[in-house]
Amino acid sequence: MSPEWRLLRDGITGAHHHFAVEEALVRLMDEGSSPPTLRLRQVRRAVFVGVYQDTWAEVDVDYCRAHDIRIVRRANAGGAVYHDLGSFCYSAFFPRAAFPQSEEQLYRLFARPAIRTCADYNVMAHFHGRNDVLVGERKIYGSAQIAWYDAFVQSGTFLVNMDFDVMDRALTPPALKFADKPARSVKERVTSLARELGRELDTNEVMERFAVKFAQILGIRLVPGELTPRERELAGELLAVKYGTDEWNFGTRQARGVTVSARATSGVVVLSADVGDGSIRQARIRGDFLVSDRAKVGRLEQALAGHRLEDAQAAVQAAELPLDVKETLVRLLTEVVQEGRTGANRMDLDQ
Amino acid sequence: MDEKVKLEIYIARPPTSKCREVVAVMENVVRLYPDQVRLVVFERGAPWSEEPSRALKYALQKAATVPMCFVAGKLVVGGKVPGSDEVERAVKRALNTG
Repeated sequence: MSPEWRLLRDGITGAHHHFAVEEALVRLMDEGSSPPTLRLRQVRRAVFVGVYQDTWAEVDVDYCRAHDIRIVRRANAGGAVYHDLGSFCYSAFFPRAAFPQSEEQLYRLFARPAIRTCADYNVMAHFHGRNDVLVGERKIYGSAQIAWYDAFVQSGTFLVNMDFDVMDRALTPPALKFADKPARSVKERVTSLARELGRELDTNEVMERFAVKFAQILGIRLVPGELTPRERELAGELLAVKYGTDEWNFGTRQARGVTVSARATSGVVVLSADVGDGSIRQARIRGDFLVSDRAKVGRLEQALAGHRLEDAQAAVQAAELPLDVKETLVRLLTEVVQEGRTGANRMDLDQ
Repeated sequence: MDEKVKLEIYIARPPTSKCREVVAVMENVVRLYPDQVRLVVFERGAPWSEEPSRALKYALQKAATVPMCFVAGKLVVGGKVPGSDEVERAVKRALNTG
């Protein structure tokens, strides 16, 4: 009997909430509390920015805000893409061990339902490059993967009826992106099933055909289901702390965690600091150095939080700790400060 | 400072319980090699103020794996919580060849 997967059509069309659900599912799949799932979804007008992209460089933020186009940073790499209810996406969540194929082979395998769905409409599509499906020279389907400990997510976007004019206005990719391509804009690089056929299509009908092909090709049985209470709860948490925040979507926070260690006379001192905007957000001090009262270390950790890096040394000097430990901590803080001055911003991996 | 062996880990944001295990393993290695290694934690999607190693950058372009652990710019473990011995072996190699 074919393995059973949950078919999830939760009807969540808000872009931020959608990504929160995606991440909740992969986290819970890894924990073993979510079943293998095919999630089909559509979102209202939104731009999905690649995880390492500079939102302001890739998107016309003012235009999007004026036209109620949501901007959200997704969890995987790649370029910014525009979505609306004229396209649909799928995500397949499964244990990595369920498929022995390489990641390249999985890209090909999961592209086949899209290619066969196109064929249903007499549109000949073909796999191209690492993870795309093209009709002629134009992309109709793109895909991405996330390997998350023991879980795996294969996602794809299928363009059915796309508003290319809005897409062209919303995205502002650097000209460099097209330097080696015949197309001069995103609009020229992509197509949709409707554009190929010259008529509007029912996106839901295409999605249903896709699901049938998906089950056939993977040899699985899809059983309609719903999000579990735990999945809803975790998605809500991720929406609140991550996908619903400007910090995540626009990248306003710079932070890093650094751990350094050094040997003091009385033992090894380990300093872990979460550093951002020139300040220590959080500090932890551990090690096997000798100290009569661990509470003194805790008090210093609290005193360091919120301090400018340069000022943190004074807090260390004032602490009730052995001199050799304090000297070592000052040395470690100096190291952290020096590293903080050699900064780099969010990098663009999409070039 | 520049002669220290750099350990890099790439984990989820916010970290999962397994990510915390990864951090604990790597921090323990830092404790075992005072003045010789340092650890930088990169959270997925968070902007960072320190340039990742070339290998980490390359890995991010090609794959989207959580977690990844690098020692001296080389991938040691990807997709699982590393064993302390795996990381230590790589650190010893880096210290011997550095």
